[in-house]
Amino acid sequence: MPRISSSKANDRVFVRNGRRHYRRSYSSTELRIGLVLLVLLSTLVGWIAWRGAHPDPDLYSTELPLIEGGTQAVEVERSVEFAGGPRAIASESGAKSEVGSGPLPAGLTREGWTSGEASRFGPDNLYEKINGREGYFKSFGFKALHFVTLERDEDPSTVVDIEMFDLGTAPNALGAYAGERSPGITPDVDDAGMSHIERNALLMTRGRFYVRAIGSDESPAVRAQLDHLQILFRDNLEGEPLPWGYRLFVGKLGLGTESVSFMPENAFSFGFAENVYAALLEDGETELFVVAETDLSEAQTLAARFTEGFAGYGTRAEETGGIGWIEDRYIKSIAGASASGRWVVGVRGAPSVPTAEAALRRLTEAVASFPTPDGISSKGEPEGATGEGESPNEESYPEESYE
Amino acid sequence: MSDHDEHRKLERRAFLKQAGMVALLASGATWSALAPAGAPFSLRDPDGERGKSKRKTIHLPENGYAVEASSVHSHLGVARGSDVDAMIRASVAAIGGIDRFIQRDDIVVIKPNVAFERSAPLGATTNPEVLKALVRLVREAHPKEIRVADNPIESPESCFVRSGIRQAAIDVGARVMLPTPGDFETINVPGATWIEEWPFFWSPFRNATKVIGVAPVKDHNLCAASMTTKNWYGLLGGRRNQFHQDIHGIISDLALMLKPTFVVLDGTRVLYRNGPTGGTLGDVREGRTIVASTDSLAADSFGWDMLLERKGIERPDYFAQVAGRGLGNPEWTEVSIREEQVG
Repeated sequence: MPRISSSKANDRVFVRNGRRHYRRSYSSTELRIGLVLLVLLSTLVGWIAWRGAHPDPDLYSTELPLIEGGTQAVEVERSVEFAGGPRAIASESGAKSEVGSGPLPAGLTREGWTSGEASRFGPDNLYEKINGREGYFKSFGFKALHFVTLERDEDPSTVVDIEMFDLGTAPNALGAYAGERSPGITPDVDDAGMSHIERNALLMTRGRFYVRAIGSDESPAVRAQLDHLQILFRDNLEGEPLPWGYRLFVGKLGLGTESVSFMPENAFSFGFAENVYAALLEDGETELFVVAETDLSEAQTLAARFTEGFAGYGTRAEETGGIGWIEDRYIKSIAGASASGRWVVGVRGAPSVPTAEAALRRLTEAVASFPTPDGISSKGEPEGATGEGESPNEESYPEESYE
Repeated sequence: MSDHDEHRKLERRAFLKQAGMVALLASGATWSALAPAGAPFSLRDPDGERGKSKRKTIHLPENGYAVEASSVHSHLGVARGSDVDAMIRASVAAIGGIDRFIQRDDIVVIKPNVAFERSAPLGATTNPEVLKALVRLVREAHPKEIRVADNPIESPESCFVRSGIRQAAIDVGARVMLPTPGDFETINVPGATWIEEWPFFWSPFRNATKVIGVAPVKDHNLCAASMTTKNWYGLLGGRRNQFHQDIHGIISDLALMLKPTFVVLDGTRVLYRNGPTGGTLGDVREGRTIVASTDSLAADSFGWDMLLERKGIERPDYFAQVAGRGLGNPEWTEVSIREEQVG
């Protein structure tokens, strides 16, 4: 029978002093390894503490995709190479030829220029690109922004940024374009859109697209690149005839295309005013506006709301021809609206009641003989916007508007 | 009893003691893990909130970075001309000179507007020549360090390079501080409506003793005008675009958040339409004016009337909100002003 030691000092099963060690010395290798481990652990602890004290601020954000399970509503294509491997997506994008990145056509650069990576922004992240300005484009039905930078090989600080806004419909694109065009600029108009080059920038519409190509300066190299882009986009983006508002104001009333604007929502800061076409008359003050409604009753209701809206900023001036004119209390201009068939017609900014009356008469006469394609709707205006045989570029537009 | 029996008895006792301790520890651990969240010693964390580290909040100095008010110097210094150096010098001289504001060993933060990836002539960002002139002037007071910082939503690197601000700052020896996620802390702004606690670009402000804002004069799609008060928006982190729903309210909060040493309104170029991004040179006109002020709101009201040329048009709502908090005078005509034509 094995003898069990009675010495408690040698008891290895129930060690009473767990800290006791039985070695009198350690090798220098063990010491070095120990020190290395200690340093590694200290570094790790320090790194964890530092990261904890400097959290990623994005963690504090309350983005819906995070809350709703991480599905990103709109993807950002930050790494799309479009220099190689063009693909045809004409039916989806509105482009009618081979394209590179989304609807951006291939061949964006002239010789001596290089394109960067294309990126795409949707309604949820547009602010990342144009923070503070995104509301403007959203008011014009913003769908997507396709962006790319072209860089001059000789001098990388010389660049052209291409911003291609998909605004859903041609009237939206034209409206956004009209709102950003500098006063006094007369656009080039063709059978599918408008464009102009102003110093360092090309601005153009083509169907539902509003394109801005912004140069870093107005050097000959930038201007040549802008000229190239203007032709490229004209040839490669499918356009559509200008909508009925242009046919009315330009074709029937003989006003310049540059005078016409389109407000899909919140026109004149009236929340109820949607799909409003407006045009500035030759005096530079008086503005005509028109809205297509579904019938006379709807038009009368809307005209009354416009009158009520104008009255919020002014006082009744006088009533002529059944129209209660309102004088703006600040700038003393005259405004008023009435219904003519399915149309709401109105005037604002007129210097006097007789001027307003004459302008409204002119507009009323124009809409009286203006064909009203069935497709026009006060809520979603584009379909049928150009009636059969009514292409502004073939029949209604005065010749000079194309120059 | 033999030695052997006695030893066995001792072993049994020790075993029972240690087994008891293990059982106690196991029970304690089980209780901590399974007991309801509110119970004593419970470690339950059903929603993960207890496990989060407690956010440290930082506070800017109670009275901001302003120097003592003066009854001798003008509140507004306006310099007109084309020599940017001379204009900066004259405008700051009008409000007391750089020595009134900056002392040796100060750490100075200069906050330009570098919000967009646009070249300087397009007017969407602070003119780099103005920044250079300002840094040179500040340097004359021998501060310990000059930091140039902003937090653009677009790529900060690209914005700083394209706008020319990075090179301008480097040329005159300022330290450029670009934001990284680790540079943000939660700021506490007592009384603020929207940013009582919000991520703030803190690293440049660590140990800073003076803060100068230098902002361009811009039309703004949402708030009508972006000038010196709106400029502090660039110090916020997080998903700050949500503030656009109450843009005037957030600008009022910004005035509460940061009380600068002085501000410079860069009116050398005026982005008078299609702001805040602009795009064409047709959106920009020459302003040939620089304003220095100890009252941001007064400087902004000067910009609205005289540089954006909107005198007589109703001012943005944030003017009234900031004034309502006693953070500035919304009528530049009511503060002392010194104007000078230089260069």
